[in-house]
Amino acid sequence: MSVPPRKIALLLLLPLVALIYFLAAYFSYYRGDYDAPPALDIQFQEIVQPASIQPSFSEVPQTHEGMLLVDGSHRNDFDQPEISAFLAKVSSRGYDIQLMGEPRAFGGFRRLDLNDRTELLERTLRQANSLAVMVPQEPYSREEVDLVEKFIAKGGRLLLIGDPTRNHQINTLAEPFGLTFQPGYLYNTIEYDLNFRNIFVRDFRPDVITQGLSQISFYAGGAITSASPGLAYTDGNTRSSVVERIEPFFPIVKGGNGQVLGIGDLTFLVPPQNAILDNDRLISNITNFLTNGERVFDLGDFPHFLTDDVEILLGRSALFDQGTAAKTLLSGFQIDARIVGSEDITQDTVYLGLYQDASDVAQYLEVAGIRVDETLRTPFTLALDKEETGLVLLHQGVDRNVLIILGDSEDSIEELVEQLESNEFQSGLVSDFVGVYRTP
Amino acid sequence: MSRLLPLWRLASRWYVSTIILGALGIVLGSLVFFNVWPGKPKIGVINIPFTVITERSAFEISALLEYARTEDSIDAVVITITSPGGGAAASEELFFETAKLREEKPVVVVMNDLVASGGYMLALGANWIYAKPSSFIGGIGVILSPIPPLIPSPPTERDVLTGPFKAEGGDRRHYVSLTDQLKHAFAQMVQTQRGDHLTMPLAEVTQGQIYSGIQGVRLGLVDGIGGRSDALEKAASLAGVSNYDIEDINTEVSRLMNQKRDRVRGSLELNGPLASSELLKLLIEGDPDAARILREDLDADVLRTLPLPGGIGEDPNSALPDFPLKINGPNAYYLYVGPSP
Repeated sequence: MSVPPRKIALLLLLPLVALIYFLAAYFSYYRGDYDAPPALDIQFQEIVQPASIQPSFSEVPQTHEGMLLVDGSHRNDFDQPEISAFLAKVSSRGYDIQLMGEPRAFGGFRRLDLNDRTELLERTLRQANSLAVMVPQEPYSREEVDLVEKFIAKGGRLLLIGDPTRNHQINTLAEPFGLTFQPGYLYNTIEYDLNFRNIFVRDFRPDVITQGLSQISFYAGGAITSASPGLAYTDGNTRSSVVERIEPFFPIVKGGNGQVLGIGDLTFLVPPQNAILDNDRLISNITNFLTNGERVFDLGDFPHFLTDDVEILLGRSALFDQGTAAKTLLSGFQIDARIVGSEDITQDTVYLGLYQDASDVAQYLEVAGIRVDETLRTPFTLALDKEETGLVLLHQGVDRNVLIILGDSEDSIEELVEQLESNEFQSGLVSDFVGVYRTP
Repeated sequence: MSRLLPLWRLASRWYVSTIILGALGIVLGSLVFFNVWPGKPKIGVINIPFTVITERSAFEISALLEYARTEDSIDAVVITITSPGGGAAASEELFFETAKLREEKPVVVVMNDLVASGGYMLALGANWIYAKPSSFIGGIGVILSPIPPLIPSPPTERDVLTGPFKAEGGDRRHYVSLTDQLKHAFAQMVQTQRGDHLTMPLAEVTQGQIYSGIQGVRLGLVDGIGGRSDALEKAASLAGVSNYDIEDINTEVSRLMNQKRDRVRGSLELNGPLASSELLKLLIEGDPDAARILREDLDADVLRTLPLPGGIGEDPNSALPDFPLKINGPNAYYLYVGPSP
């Protein structure tokens, strides 16, 4: 039985229309294929960890007697272990180290009252050969700056360290010496030591500070401006976070006639940064700078111009009690003193006597231009009535110092010793080496 | 029956049969096309409102991306995003997931207010990136925090460690170096994904700077300025589809997740929200029903989203209350913390 062609056509019509519709719909909605990109192929394993360069550096330092004063009285923002490598180098040069201020148990330093701070600075600077001020968070007062300026004028050396990553008021002390620590930090995104804020510094001006340096690294160091050219300067790829201009920046500079060194980074002192590249050598150079100064001590620095072994010579036996008081006073400064009967010209000496005994020390008075006769005359004062007065003279010889204390009476001598102890003698200084006092 | 006879006769006529069969063919064709295969094309839209990418948010976003990838009816995906980035590994996870999705379906990203750092990393996995003129984009770089101090405290004598770095993992320089590695890895991603589009040196790319959308186009960080409609058109064009439907993937995935949770909740016969601690308690007590729930109904996805006490997702210091050392290791972030538009 054959099926008529019309019926076959009718039977095929349904799937055919369905297919045509399907295809029409398909090509209407789907007009192409997604050309997927290739799978990820990022060569992470090719990223290498930069190696740290730690060259070996050894030295045999020369030793000198002296004392480095480290400021901690301005809530300085560092912990002692951070500068231990630096302090070790200072010690290895024979210097004593005195920390000024009260460290806190958990780092940093306690806040001190301004008067206490000033008094502390005045007292401790008298015995210091050099001063290190790092990231002080409290500003230096005018009075404190004056004290430091006098210290520098007497040959003291000053290290100023600011750090952009820590709060500091270093400019209150730096600016009087012609240095200004700039805000912001230095960075280099092209070439750096592990991080863009670890800049390389390779260009140096010849100086004791830059001796032997070829490459150092500062972490987030800051720039310093000064009237004199910097000792180290950055390359063309190093920028400042706050300065748009492309220019060399100076992270190490000197001011104050070469006695003040400013550095815009603290972390190069801190392990392990201290051992990177030539940082260790830089720290040695800084230490040499601080320990090689020629600090001049004057009467205002009493008693730190004296050695640890002093003889006390009395003009008369009646002054024995005053001599004992002077001995006690000196022992408070860790100075061994003993009362002797005659002068040893190889020893530092403290002489106590009345004006009538002035002939014992006539040669020293003559050198100082002081005459004691009917009146008391010094190059710095008019002729004074000797009654109820006292005189203190520091004679500085080649190898020894002689401190001469003269008065019109035993009470005057006692009063002068007390003034030396209480520090009130500073008000009677008429020159760096002579003091004249009323002793009522 | 006799009343239907005239209709039958009419239908028996060839021209009427042809029309009827043709109409039936259309119905059949459309039924197959729309309901069996392949259906009307769909573009899935994933909306990521302001999100800091964390392990948890990355997990949720990954679930959206995974749904978009595995759902056959979705032909292309548009992701609208606002994110300052976040955790490094979480951001990388989203980059890899986006790139994986891109291998199967076109992905177009639309940047809203802020797409920076880890957020930008996610966008790198797309085929095409649109930004608004005022979008803040870029911020390419790494933050590692907290890293050990320059001089870390030594461990006390009560703690025995087998190596100098066992507690801290390395000294400060080591971590600084790791940060640099991560930066280079990010830079590699930018380099390989943006390739010839980039018009600035790679060293500049990794400075972490934020750019406007306009600058982003000029620098090659994004492909164009546009919004959601542009992204849909671009996604359709890349997928080769037209007359598409739009599927809100966030809603769909939430619906599915809620269904799963409801099923678990129902099985536990608990009133109120699912208490995972109660489930654990039942498991510990050897309750056979709890074991069955865990085996049959509680799939891994749901389990991973549950905050389990003493385990997944808990603060490490409270997870190990007797551990003498503070668990405060450094974390890497691809994160921008600056101002937003």
